[in-house]
Amino acid sequence: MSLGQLHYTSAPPGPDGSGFRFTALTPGLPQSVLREAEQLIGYEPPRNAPSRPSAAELEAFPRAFSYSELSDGSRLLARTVYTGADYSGRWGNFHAHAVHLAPGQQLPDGALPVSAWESPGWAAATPEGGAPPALAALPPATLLDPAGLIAFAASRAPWLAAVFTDLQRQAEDETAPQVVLVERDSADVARWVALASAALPREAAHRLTFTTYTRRPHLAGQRIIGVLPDDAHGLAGSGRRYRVHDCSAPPPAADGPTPGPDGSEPAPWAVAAAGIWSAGAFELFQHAHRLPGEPFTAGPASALALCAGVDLPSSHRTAAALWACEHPAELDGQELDGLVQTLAAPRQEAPVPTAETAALAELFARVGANLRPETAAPLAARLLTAAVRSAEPVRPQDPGALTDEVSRQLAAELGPELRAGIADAAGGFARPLRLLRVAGLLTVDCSDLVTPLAHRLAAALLADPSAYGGELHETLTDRPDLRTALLRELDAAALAGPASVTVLLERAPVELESREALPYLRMCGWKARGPAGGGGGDRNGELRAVLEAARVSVFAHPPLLRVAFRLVWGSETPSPEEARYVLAETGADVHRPAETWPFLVTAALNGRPGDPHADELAHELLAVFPAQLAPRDRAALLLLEFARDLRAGGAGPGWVDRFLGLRRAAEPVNPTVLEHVCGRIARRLLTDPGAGRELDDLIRSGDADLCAAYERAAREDAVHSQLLSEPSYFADRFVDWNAHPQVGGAWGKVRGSLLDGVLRPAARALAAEDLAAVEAALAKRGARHAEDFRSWNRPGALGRLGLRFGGRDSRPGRTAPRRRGSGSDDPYRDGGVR
Amino acid sequence: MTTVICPYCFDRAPAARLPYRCLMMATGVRGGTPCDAEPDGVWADFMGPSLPPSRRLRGPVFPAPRTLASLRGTSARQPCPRCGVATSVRVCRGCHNDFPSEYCDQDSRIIALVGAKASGKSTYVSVLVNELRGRVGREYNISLPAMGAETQRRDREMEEDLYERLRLPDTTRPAAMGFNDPLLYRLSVPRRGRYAKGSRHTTLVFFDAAGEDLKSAEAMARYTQYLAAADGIILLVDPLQMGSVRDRSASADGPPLPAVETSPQQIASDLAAQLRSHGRSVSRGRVTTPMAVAVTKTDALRALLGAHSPLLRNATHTGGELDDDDRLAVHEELRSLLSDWDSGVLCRQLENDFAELSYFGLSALGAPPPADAPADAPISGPQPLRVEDPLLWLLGRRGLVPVRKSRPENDRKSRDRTGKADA
Repeated sequence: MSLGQLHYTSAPPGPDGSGFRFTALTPGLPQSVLREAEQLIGYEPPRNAPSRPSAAELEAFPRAFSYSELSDGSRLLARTVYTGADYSGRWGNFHAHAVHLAPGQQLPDGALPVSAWESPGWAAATPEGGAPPALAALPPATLLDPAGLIAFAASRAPWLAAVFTDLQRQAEDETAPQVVLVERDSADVARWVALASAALPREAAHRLTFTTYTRRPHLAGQRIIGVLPDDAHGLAGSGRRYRVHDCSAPPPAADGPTPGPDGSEPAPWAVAAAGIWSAGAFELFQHAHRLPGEPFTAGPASALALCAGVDLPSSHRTAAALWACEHPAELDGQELDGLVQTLAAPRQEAPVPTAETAALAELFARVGANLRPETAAPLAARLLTAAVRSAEPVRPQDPGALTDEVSRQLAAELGPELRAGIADAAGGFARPLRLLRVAGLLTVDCSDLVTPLAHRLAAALLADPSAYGGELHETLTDRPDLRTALLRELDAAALAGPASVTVLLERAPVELESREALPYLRMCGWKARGPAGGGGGDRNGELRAVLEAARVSVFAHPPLLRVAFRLVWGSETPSPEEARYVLAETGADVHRPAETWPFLVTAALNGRPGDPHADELAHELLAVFPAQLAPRDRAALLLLEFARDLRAGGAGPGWVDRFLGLRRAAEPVNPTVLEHVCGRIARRLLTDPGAGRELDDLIRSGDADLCAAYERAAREDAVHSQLLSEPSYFADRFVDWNAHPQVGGAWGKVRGSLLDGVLRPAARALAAEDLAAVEAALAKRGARHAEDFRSWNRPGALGRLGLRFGGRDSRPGRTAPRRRGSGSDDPYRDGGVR
Repeated sequence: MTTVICPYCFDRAPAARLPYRCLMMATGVRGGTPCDAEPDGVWADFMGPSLPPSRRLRGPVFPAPRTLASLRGTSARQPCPRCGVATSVRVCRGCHNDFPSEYCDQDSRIIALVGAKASGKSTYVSVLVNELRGRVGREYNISLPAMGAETQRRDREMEEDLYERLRLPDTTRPAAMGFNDPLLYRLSVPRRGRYAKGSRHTTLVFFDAAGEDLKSAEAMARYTQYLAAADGIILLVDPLQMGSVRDRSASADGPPLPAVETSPQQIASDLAAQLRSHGRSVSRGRVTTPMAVAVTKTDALRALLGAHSPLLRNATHTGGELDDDDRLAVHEELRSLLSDWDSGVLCRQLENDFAELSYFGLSALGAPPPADAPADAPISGPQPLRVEDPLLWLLGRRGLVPVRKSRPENDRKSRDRTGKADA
């Protein structure tokens, strides 16, 4: 198949005109192609070139070798040369020979466009006869031979990465700026294109448009534009449109890869590609293109370059290692050895970036087992050294990769640093742990440093349980001595503060299995990791379980009971019932050395008022801890015991006096105790028919707490029910609450309140027959009481009127209940009988 | 109100309505974030399909505000509505090409140069500009600076080539190659009159078309807009392309005769046809665009001229005025010569197609190129003859340069058949 060709030059007048025109065309080329081609194949000689050049000088004129994309997607590969004077004798003529490639069409055998640079297939004059001869291919010339390209790449090393960066940007973004290469020789631009075409992925290389020479870069549409130095001046400051690389000027001074024209850092892929070209290993590009991975990622190219021993920056070493981790099967054994050897080689740069070390560690973990010992050992040694010297975490490696010789050398070299680092308490425990593992790998003796480290470690973990991580876990697994020391520290901490240890064990999977007793730690462990729900609310059962978890008898180690108490009840107080149970189960003796008896006393004193276990517990405590109790606690417990006696009916007369005496000894009395005892006295006064004298004592004492407790008891529902159901009880209360009307103070307020708030509502709720029964009961206690009751119970004027019109009658014999809240003119509504 | 003609697409618009282009410069204004480049589809369409995507991104274009200052044309800079940075770059409404600074400050006059290939158009422009700045400029007290970087570059190179290197311009590339931007000059002429003060400025736009672009009606169609927008046309006629002259010159000593290119009458005919088709004003079948027909290389015609021919010397421009009598003398002599050459076909063609035309004779170099170096200027350098006459006549018709008319109007009318072809 012949390629479509066109020739263009200024030719003498002919049938189709004169001057510049297409002088030979392959039949069938579309007119639209010719119109566009005419804009792409023009030529202007350099400004400073000889204006009347000789034939030899003409040869030195730059060649405009271009590869352009047309609007229909087809391509035009053109070579334009200056030919000097035209038929009229005027200068400025040129000859363009171009090949048209239809959309999707490539040069024969998939040859890259740049391979046609100075191909012998190009013509510098219009063929005779006006029809271009068949052209099957454009065989490459020897001008772009590998050796020449390698030498050229070496000479352009300072610009390589920056140019490749811009080309990468173009391949990824069609709006990226055009690359302007300033070279004194258009052949050098062609060499640039050859370098780029080799480095770029194959598809991108076929899309790479270029021209090796133009005097009007602002009119060129190709991605790479070659210009002479004189023609680049107008492009300054056009960074949005052009990236100008002046390779005719002295190279910029820079450490590492040269930044781009705007100072931007070169892309990683570009740096790798530049490194490959600088090392002359261009054959790696083809291999890299076949490797998996996204185009323009640094990994594949960097890996191959490093396999070949090409030196690359740290970021590329990192990328190569990570890529090799992901694709270990893509490299054969020899390549992998080469990669690892290059990566393991000592580096001048210090410190080595953490990312690189981490990547190497990852690589070693993935492929280390497949490496020859002599290859793996240097990498392992480097990783161990990094683990010791790097401030960042580096995972220590399997010691199996180290040869004995390397291990000895490392131990001697790193021993002092290891000990100093383990003992260093300033920077947390991560690094000391890492170093301890390394010390173990290298058999450096650090046993004396383990206990202090465990102490620091325990403190840190108790302060922040989240500090327990995988690395610590691994270290504890690797170093049993450290683990044992840490558990001892935690056991001691559990005795002093079991709560924090329990929290630690809840949040951190610290392994508690040990040959040592560690009773306190085990109790905390049960509490933290025991069955869900603990004892199901049964805290006595939970206490038993905690004590059993200690695997040590509480009678042998009484402090266990104190720790167990703190674990089960924490800051709370056992209930009197729970305390009685504990006391009954363990006996009193163990509580003395365990110092847990105060918990029991507190349980009694804090018991709920009315709880019979509280006064029973007080009775028991008074019996078993007579020597330990303080006088005030003892008096308070005696108050509770007095309440127990009242409840049991065993209290002798003179309740109020006894209460007042004990209370004075127990001041300040716990309010719950006070409420408990006063309540018990008040109920007895309300229920015991023979307690009238005791009530008189209460009235006379004027004790506000007792009076208040009496009122509370009198307002209980039981009293209200009894008032409605038992006329005699009603009569007794009427008599009690009307006794000593002259006494004011606390009792005066209570009496009035009870008559109005308790007794009157009850009286109004009673039927007439019940009222009559009450009157009868009162009459038995004295006619005066009955008369007082009638007066007290007589409705006011408005009340009577209401009863009359309402059809109600309060007279005995009528069954309708009395209205509640009758008239406001009731003379007795604010008190009892006056 | 100043009217601007775009030298690229020839769109005519009031200067006050020309949009602005943001410079995308970072300043402290409004947060200091410069505008981003954005695709300029209008400009990309004008530039054609070969424009790469990266080049389509340009500074945002925003319309001129309708303020009193902008309507007066006194608002040179406008802040970008997005970034707030002021810009003075005006763009064409039709094609979004950027105008050179000061381009919009005065009216534009487009002068079209047409002629067959190798008729000396590029040489003529180069010499004409040099003469307007030198000998002629002194007489009229005019200045003619180049406008825009591209014109300045080409202007500098033209002068350097012709006057320092003594090289004739290289052959002009056809417009299809996209190489030929117009040449933009700012013509400043002092105002005349008792109360007149200051200067009058006009933008002169020369479009140096390649001969290839005029070789046929089809090729010339690319220039239709340009020709239609022209305020005057200078048709360069190479006498050595005319059969009669070639016959007489063949035996003479001198450089070899040039190859036969498109005939002047063919160009004139195509030109008139294009202008008519584009709706250019026509009077009684003739195009009204003033046409200066300049016979070039008159140094090669010395043998055909009398000893007192006005073509053998430059016009005097005494007092900074264009001598209309002198022009008419030249006109008559050239018309007489052209009537003789090739049976006067060119004269008849021109006078039938153009309502206003005048004949001129000029020599850009003043002498033939060396025989052994036909692309070089004479060793003594260019010694131009009457190169300014066609342009001054066109400018005089627009009142841009003063014209001295001494003959009675009736007498002049009787003789000025060609100067006012329809009079």
